[in-house]
This record gives sequence, C-alpha cells and structure tokens, in this order.
Amino acid sequence: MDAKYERQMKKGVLEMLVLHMVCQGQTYGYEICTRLDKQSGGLFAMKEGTLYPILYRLQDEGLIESRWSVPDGRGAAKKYYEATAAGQQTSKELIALWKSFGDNVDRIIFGGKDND
Amino acid sequence: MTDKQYINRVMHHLHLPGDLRDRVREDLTQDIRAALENGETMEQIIDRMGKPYHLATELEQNYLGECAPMPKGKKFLRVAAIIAIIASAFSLLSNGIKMLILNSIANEAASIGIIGGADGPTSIFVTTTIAPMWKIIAQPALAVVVIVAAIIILRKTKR
Repeated sequence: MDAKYERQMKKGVLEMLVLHMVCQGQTYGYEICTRLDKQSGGLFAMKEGTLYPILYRLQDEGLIESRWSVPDGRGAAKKYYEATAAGQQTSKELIALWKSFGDNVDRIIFGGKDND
Repeated sequence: MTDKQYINRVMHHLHLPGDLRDRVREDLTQDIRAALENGETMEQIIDRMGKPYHLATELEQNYLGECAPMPKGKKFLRVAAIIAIIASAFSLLSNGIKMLILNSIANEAASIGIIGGADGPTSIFVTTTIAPMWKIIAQPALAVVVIVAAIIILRKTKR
C-alpha cells in the first residue's frame, strides 16, 4: 500500500490524540511520544519534528498551555503542557466526532447493502 | 555530540520566527534531558529524533505547511517599515551633525560678540540661522515617532 494513504489518515488523528494525551494530565513532549508509541504498538510513533508543531498549534489556539514546574532541591525546572477548559471541551467534541466518523465509515464499508 | 551541541546545531538550521525558536529550544532541552534520565544515550536520541538538519527541516515543514505564506500586503508593510526606520535614523543623524555645526558657529559668534562688544549683525545672523526652535525639536521628534511606529508595525506583522 502506498505510504501516502497511511500518512494522510494519521495526520487527521494525531492532533486529536495529542490533545487527548494532554487532557489526561500535565505532560511533556518526551512522555507524549513514548506513550503514543507504546499504546499504539508503534503505529503512532512520532518524532519531535512532528509533535512540536502540533503542540504549538494547540497552544496558539488556546487549547493547551505550558508552564514551568518549580524545581525541588537541585533539579532543573521542567516545562509541562496542560489542557485549558477550552481544550478539554474541544477534546470531548473531537472524540465524539471520531466516534461518529468511525461508526458511519464502518456502516458504509461493513454494513452491507441493507443499510444503504 | 553532546545534548547542547545537538540543540545548537538544530537551532542553526532552523529558520522559524524568534518565539517559535525559543519554544523549540525549551522543548528540546527538556525532552533530551528526560530521555537521558530515562537511560537513552545521545546516539539513540539522535537516531530517534533525526540528525540536526533533518529535525530542523521536519519542524519547518510541519509548522509552515499548516500556515499560509505571508500575504503580500503584510510583506510590503514590513519593507516600508524598515525603509522608514533607515530614513528616520539617517535624518536624526544628519540633524545631529547640523546641530553640532550650528552650535560651534553660535559659540564662535558669541565669543566674537563678547570680544568685540555689541555686535549687531552677528547676533542677528545667529538668531536667524538657528531661530525656529520648534523646527529643531519637531524634526527629530517626528523621526523618533516614525521609528517607534515602524518598530511596532514590524513586531505586529511578525509571523
């Protein structure tokens, strides 16, 4: 199969997945990459070159925000991303949209002629 | 290659606006540190993230790919602002030089006046040359206002 199709499909869901990850609790780039890789069995393995622009777009749209943790003791300050209220709401709406997409695509492809 | 060298090389190849560059530097610093703490070596990290040039190109393509290119009007405004800054700076400079020359002439004239007693024509010459005070102040003030306005335009039209 042409890798182009896979890339296009992934592109559509990566933003939703990254927003969902941030909505689950404060996190940072490395953690998002490793969790996505692990939880998708490598299908959504993402490089920083792809992740950062997604994070910056979500941040510019006011869906997530970054903050620096206050270091305890000698440790360095860490930059975390966390979802705003608008981000939580958008994430819910995106997941509902994904569900509706999936159900309809499934019905069209696997539902047979009776469901047309 | 150390983490700092890697980040500096990525930044060297990265052509994005200043605020985005700052964000990339912060995130890279943070994520490389986290990966090192997690037991990865610098070689493994570079293998995963890509060579500096490749990571910079990927970041640019993924970010700029989503953003429309800068509209022509905006570009024109930026060029006009830069020209305005240069012209105003030049006017300020030439004005400063003119003031210095006039000042030295005035001092000379004043000293002549003192030495020679009441020197009518010289004092008239000096006052008429320097006289319109508002002109002396207004021109540089206008230049400063233009420079400030142009800088504001440049900052506002930054991508």
